[in-house]
Amino acid sequence: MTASIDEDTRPRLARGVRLRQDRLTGKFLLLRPETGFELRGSALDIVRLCDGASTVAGIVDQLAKQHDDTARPEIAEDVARLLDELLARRLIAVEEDKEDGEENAGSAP
Amino acid sequence: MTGTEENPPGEPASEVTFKDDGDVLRPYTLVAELTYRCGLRCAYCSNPVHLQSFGAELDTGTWARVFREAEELGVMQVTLTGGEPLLRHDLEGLVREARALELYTTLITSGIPLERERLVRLQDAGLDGLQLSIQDTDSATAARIAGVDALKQKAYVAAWARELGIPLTVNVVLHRQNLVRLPELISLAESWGAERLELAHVQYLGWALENRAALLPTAAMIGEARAEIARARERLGRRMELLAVLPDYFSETPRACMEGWGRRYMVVVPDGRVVPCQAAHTLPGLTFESVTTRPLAWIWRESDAFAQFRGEDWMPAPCRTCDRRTQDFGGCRCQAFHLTGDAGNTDPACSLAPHHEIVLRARAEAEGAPAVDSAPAAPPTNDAAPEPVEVEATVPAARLRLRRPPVTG
Repeated sequence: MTASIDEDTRPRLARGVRLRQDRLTGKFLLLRPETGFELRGSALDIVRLCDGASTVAGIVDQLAKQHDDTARPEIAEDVARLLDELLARRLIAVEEDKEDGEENAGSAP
Repeated sequence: MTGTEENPPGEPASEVTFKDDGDVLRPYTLVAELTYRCGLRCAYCSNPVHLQSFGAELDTGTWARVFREAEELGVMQVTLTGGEPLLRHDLEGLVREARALELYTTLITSGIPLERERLVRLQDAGLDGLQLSIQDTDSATAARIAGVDALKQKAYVAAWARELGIPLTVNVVLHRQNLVRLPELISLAESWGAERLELAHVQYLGWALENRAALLPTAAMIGEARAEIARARERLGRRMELLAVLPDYFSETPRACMEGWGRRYMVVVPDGRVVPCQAAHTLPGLTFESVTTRPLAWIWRESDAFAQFRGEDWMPAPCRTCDRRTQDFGGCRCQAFHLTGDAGNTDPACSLAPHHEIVLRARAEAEGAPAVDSAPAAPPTNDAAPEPVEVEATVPAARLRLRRPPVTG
């Protein structure tokens, strides 16, 4: 797996991943082919800020502002840990993944 | 999905997969088998061996109602499959219905017949993901397995998916005749830009059980496949996810079939009957209710067929007291029936099963069977046949006979 996520990257949901609420439990899940991942605790707040525009540092700033500015180091740690996990599971993507790159695309008629 | 998964362990602290939320009795995934028709005739086809006992396909409106009732029950994923679901002319409409309910909608297809324009329409309708099956990288073997050579068409479909930005999973059913080309299969999916590659070994039920002698590999082949998969994962990193399910005949522990009977999945077959797994209609003594006569919720909660092997009450020894019973749920009921004659037995794939020697015998037979590679294929047969036909496959050391489903497209 990769080292901890760079705080200048701009995470977003990976292609094919959808956030939705479970109508029976009210919990939120990230859905992708054949499976889903429940977001627990602060995970939902963090994932909602993964819009491809905000940097990791920006996400930490927003959460610190909403909750507790003095807890920024702990928040930064939580965010990095979750995003590392989501990245390893390909639930989020960052620019360097070149998801939309054409280098591997075959030719279509 | 339903095999002995050989995938990296580790659950992140803040997430949980469907599998771990064991308290609530609710289905997560609806497998919608829209049709049994298909232009391919794969020797391991999951269609019923006896198609004659099935009724007419459900119409568009009934499928839309099934999707609504499934979503109300808690389903979040719908898998549109078959047969070949592209043969349903109302597929775009069905995708639209599913997506309107916020169901995560995946199409499982051979890619035949498909043009770019139709894929665009499916995407516009809200398709979330495409799972494209390939038989082999070797055209001759692909043709021998499927009855037709379709690799070029599949390459086009993959390229369109890539170009349109539709998440692509490539699925390969592994068996004795294509295992040797695992590196090429992985490279092909990679070159197509697939997000995921699913390497799922044949499950020896139905047509695959009929053809087991030609499909079951040796232990050495499985060992090499494991090593190759580990090397590929190392090399691929995050570029492409690699899921692998190797045959339960070699695993000593049974696969968690459907993640438990009537636990996470419900399958609606083309004529509307609801079954706990794609092969369950082969089990004798069970009556499967239809969405044409019963509400889906009643079938899920109340029907005898779903209750039959749900939970642990049905379990025989040694399952009943086994530590693994909450992980493998006693294995596959259909495999237990087809190998031992009783669906209530422990899956013979388990090394603790009283009937395990059946699997050991099949393994020993595989050791003595001829290696199969680079043989000239029998010419593809496209003409419709009312009954299963036997097609001869020429191999270097012997002649193996493959029984095939009839053309139904």
